[in-house]
Amino acid sequence: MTYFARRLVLGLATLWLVTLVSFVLLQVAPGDAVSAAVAGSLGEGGLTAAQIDQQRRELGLDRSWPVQYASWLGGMLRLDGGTSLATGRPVFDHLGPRVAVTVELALFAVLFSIAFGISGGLAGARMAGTAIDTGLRSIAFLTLSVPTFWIALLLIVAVASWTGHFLALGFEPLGVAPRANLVSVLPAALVLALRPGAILMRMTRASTIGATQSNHFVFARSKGVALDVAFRRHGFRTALLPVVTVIGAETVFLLGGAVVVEQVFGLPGLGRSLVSAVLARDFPVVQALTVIFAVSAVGMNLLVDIMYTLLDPRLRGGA
Amino acid sequence: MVPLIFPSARLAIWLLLALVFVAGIGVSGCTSETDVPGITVVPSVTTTPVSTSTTVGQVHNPADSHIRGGTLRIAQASDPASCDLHSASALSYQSVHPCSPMLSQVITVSTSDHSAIKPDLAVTWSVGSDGVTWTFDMREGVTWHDGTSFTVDDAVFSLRRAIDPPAGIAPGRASAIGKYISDPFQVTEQNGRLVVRTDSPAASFLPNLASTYVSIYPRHATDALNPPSMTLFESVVGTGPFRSGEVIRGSRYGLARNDVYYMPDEPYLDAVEFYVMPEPAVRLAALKSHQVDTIAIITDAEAQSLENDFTGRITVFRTPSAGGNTVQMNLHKAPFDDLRVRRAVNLAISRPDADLALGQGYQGVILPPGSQFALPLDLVSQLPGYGDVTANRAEARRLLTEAGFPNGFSTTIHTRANPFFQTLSEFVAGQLAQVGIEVKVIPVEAVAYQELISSGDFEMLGHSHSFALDDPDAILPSHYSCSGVENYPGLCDPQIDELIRLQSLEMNPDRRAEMLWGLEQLIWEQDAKVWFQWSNRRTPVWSNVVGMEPGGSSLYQARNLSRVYIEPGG
Amino acid sequence: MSVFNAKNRSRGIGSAAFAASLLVGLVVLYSMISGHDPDTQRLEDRLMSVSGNHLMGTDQLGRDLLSRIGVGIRNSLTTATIIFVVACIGGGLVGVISGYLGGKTDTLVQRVVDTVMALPLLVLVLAVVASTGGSFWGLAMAMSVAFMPLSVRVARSSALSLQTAEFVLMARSGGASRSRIVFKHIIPNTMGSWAIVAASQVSAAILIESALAFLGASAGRLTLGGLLGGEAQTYMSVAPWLLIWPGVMLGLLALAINLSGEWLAARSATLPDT
Repeated sequence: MTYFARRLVLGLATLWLVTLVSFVLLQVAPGDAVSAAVAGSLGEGGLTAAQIDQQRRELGLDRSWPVQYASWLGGMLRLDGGTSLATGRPVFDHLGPRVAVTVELALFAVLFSIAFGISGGLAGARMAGTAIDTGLRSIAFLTLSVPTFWIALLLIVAVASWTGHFLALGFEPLGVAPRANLVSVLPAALVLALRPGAILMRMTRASTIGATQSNHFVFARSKGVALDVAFRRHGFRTALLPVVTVIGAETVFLLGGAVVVEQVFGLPGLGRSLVSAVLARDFPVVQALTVIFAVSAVGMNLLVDIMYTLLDPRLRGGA
Repeated sequence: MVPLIFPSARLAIWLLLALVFVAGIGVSGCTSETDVPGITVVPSVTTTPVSTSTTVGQVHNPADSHIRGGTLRIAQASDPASCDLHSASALSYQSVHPCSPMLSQVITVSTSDHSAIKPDLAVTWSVGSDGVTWTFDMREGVTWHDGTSFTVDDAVFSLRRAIDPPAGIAPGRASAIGKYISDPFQVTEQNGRLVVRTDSPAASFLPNLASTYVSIYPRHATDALNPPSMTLFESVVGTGPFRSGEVIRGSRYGLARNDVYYMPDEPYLDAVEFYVMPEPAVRLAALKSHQVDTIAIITDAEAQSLENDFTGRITVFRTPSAGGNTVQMNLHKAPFDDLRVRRAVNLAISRPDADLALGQGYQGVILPPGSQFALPLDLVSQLPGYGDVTANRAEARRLLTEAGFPNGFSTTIHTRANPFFQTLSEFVAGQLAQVGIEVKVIPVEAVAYQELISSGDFEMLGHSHSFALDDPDAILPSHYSCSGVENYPGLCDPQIDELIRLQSLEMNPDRRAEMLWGLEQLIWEQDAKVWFQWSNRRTPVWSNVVGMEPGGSSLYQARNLSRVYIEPGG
Repeated sequence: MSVFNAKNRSRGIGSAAFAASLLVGLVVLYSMISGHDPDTQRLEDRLMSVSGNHLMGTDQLGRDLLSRIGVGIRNSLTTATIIFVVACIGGGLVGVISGYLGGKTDTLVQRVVDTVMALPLLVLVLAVVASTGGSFWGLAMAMSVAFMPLSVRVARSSALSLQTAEFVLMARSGGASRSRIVFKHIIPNTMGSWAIVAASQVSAAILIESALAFLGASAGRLTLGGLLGGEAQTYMSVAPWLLIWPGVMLGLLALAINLSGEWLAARSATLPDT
């Protein structure tokens, strides 16, 4: 397993680089947590220059950026994310409940997209060239082409106008109110699932058609194996690889899409935290979120590689 | 056989079709009736657990016809950043509105008549013959939400803290009372009373003390926190009519009735829920479907649409707001160092056009119209910028020619990358184009914008201000004195500074008003920060909510919710 | 099997791509000849519904929405072009060269690619937008950097697999120079998979740019995303067209790009039918 050990080390190195880059980016951006606090309230009630300097000293923002970065990194290695510059709360306390929201949202979105994508893709492949296939493909194309936040907004407004049912009344924790939780998360997950679902549908359709043209399939058919059976035996298995690829590649997009979906549906997830933390120049929170996003991106890549080698033994041992 | 389409996929298709239909409405939207497709709103009282509780346990009180019980639901754009109203983090109204019902002040202002000071934790007060020693008799038998008794020492602690917050907490608007009290130890407890000694006689000390931002916190519970600050909503221990209830950060903030509130029989409501909904269209949809009872700010056009479509069901309160829309010119950058150019800019902006473009507002100059010391309208109308638009623009062109710009000139206007600020600045650009000044609007991210305006590296700004308090001392020093932190144009006139100082010392309201009128005209004639429109605040409230006073001079003031109640069957 | 007739498929997609592009083109063209200036305000005509004079209505300052959408499409297309050139073509070249050269160069490129891929796009873009004062080019470059990794990866892996391909080995034994092998043999054969990735990348970039404008990172120029992210929402029930039309046009633009990529891919016989 030295291959995976090497991947792991490289992953950690990437992780470290990412935190450094995001830290520098935030340093380069004008303003810091103190001026952001002043700006945050539409600039009213400004602080005097002396008060601003004092604040910077008290928050440790007067130190040079390598020192600040080193002290953050040192904290992280001791699993201490520091405290938010905006609220003074420990960063991990702040983000903990939000991780659950985004994870739940992303999981449901993956489930929806698998359901939508694989069934649509298989149906399309099975009925390739028919009106249903064309219809499904058109839907996939349309879905890939509309902005997520726009669909989400129109959905909420349209449903509220037509049925009086309101889809965005905030989040309820799964453990406390499971029903209300599903009511709050599912519509958002559905919107979030549109893009990966459409991509998955196209990939599944293509690889299944590819498989039906393979020798195995043609041979099986020629032996008189029923079309459906041949499909299940030789078509479905091939669909698994694209699922893995798409989910791996779309994780980053999914988390990015989660930002706008959380914003529109008012869900307290990581994406909204990231937007507000960057706007507030709250670097401990931004850094912690960068780590979370990077770990999921790097981890997903690793996972995809592992899945690939498991699904396709030919790849084992190769780079 | 593999299932062709899972139910979820069918749902997705249905939703897509629905959205295509919305788009179709846009296509066929040639008539004005299509703007609200079938907006017969079903009052969904039974669909959410929150609203069902509004009908449970309501007791009609025959004595003063109000109803006990019920939940008021409010949507706002963001979380309360901090409930430590002494700190700079808590300046936004999204902090003030949910946090202030848990807190009390020494004194407060009436929401209907905001020049009237009312008792809160102080019952009576007086100023000594020296004009600087203020004595407050505090209410007795008041308990904090944690059951301990409120003491005068808590008030002393809070006022000192407001003036000089502990390390790590940036001072907010509360520190405004520091203008009158240079040393926090001028706030003391003497013979069971709260005694404050101001540096000199100051007419505006009381209105500034009556600010929400000078709320009273308990010494013991604050010091028990690390850092010693009630930043978190649920950490607040106050003496207000409501205590903190259930919180789901990022989603909703609940207030529950304080059963031992010192005003007998108040509050009437059982609970208040604040929902966080970042998107304006979503907040409006929540209001229309009566998932919430009120939202904070809507455009004039939306307000009119609500009044038409929801007549008798939703009332839109229109109240003058302590704030407005400005174009500001950098006095240290050519050509705005020339008064004639600045005057031309002022003259070029049509006030009626501003009312059309940005929503009906008010005319006024330096102090918010409607406030005690604002320049009377008949005097305002004689100042530059008012009167006949065509004549004004002709005069503007003449001034530009005189200043050496017969064909106008090109310049930039920086503004915050915020939808309203951008519209405001684009409006200004459109107005200035009519006298030949070509303006490029540059929207800048909020914090970068803050850095930009404090560094003075701009030519013009399109900026919308709002004050927490319409008192002259809360506005003039910060906006117009040489060292003022919000004096972005860089106006510096010793005469203005001196007059700002003198008016603050004047105890006779009539003489003070006269001084202020002169000062307002003097500042206005500089054409540095041109308030071309003072804002109108539009607050829609469902009609079954009784006693809601969205008035008050400022959005940034506490809303008194203790006498609000909900009529059943709304 | 006639249903898998690639020629028919390619023709169908081609005409759909043509139709979508034509619609977008017509809107841009009409906006240029309609006689309305995108910035001229006519306050007495504000929030006017769709009419003969204003085919898509007017906004809160009485500006013609169609001409603003026309400008928005052009600016969005400029962004798309920058991203296409820098991220897709540039990234593709980097990938091919890095894959072919291998060794230290390849390792370095891979580390950079990994880092950019793991960096949250929002942090990168918001920081760049704030630092450059909302510069149009700054935003486009930041987006290009963010979109580069996938093109690098795709091109690199095809280059790697081609290295051992028979025709490459033959060319090498025939004494062809390195650059000749890369440009004559490897690049042309990676084009197919690269094109389809490029099309989906560019359309995704346009959509993400609009999402960023919606979140407050505006591009300094009028874009479709800027129209959606501005005050449109606050006039939702009085002037829904302010939100509907820019969204529809953005969707149409992305659709045109997606379909064109698909059409290119379908024409290429080496690719599986997708």
